[in-house]
Amino acid sequence: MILIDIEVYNNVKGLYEIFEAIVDTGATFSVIAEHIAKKMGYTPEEKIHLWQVNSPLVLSKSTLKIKYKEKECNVGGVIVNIHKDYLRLATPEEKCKRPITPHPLTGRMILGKNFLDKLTKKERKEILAYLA
Amino acid sequence: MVLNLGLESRKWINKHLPELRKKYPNKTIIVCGEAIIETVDSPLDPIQVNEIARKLCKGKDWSYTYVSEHEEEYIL
Repeated sequence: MILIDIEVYNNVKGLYEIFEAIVDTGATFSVIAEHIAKKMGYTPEEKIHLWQVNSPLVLSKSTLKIKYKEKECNVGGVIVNIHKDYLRLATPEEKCKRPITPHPLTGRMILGKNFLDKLTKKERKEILAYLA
Repeated sequence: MVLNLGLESRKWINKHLPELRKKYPNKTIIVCGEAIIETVDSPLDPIQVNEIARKLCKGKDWSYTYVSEHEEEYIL
């Protein structure tokens, strides 16, 4: 898993917030959880139909204002609703129904290919070097 | 206030993540430079983390992570 830091503009507070992000080259879009998007003033725009593992997924699009190493860019994001019970550790009774750990987007976002496409080749290489 | 993107702190977290998973399982940690300056016994959203870190790190390089003990075993 590649973890990096980026800054995401908080439209409510009028400042950038540091975010931990999972870099996912297999994701077309960047992804932010709804409970975070709401707090930051990102409103859902049109719906988009995407493929997930075994079924289509319908999400709302939004444009995220992101800064990476002082470079600002607008990145197409999708807002995903995560059930509030998944934002915490599982209780013993839940063990067989869900992973124990909270949902990975509880405190993070996903940076998809559309973010990587905005970077220079050198920046992309630096990020992917975390796998080495 | 100018925020410093936690490049050095992030490098430190990524380098030490295997040990951190054993030492701080299922805690949110905030790292300033090469030191853990705060641990919280629950996952936080990034806005909550930024509120804490702004007070504690005051313009220094910082970063955070939720140290999930088993997370990587459960992501598709």
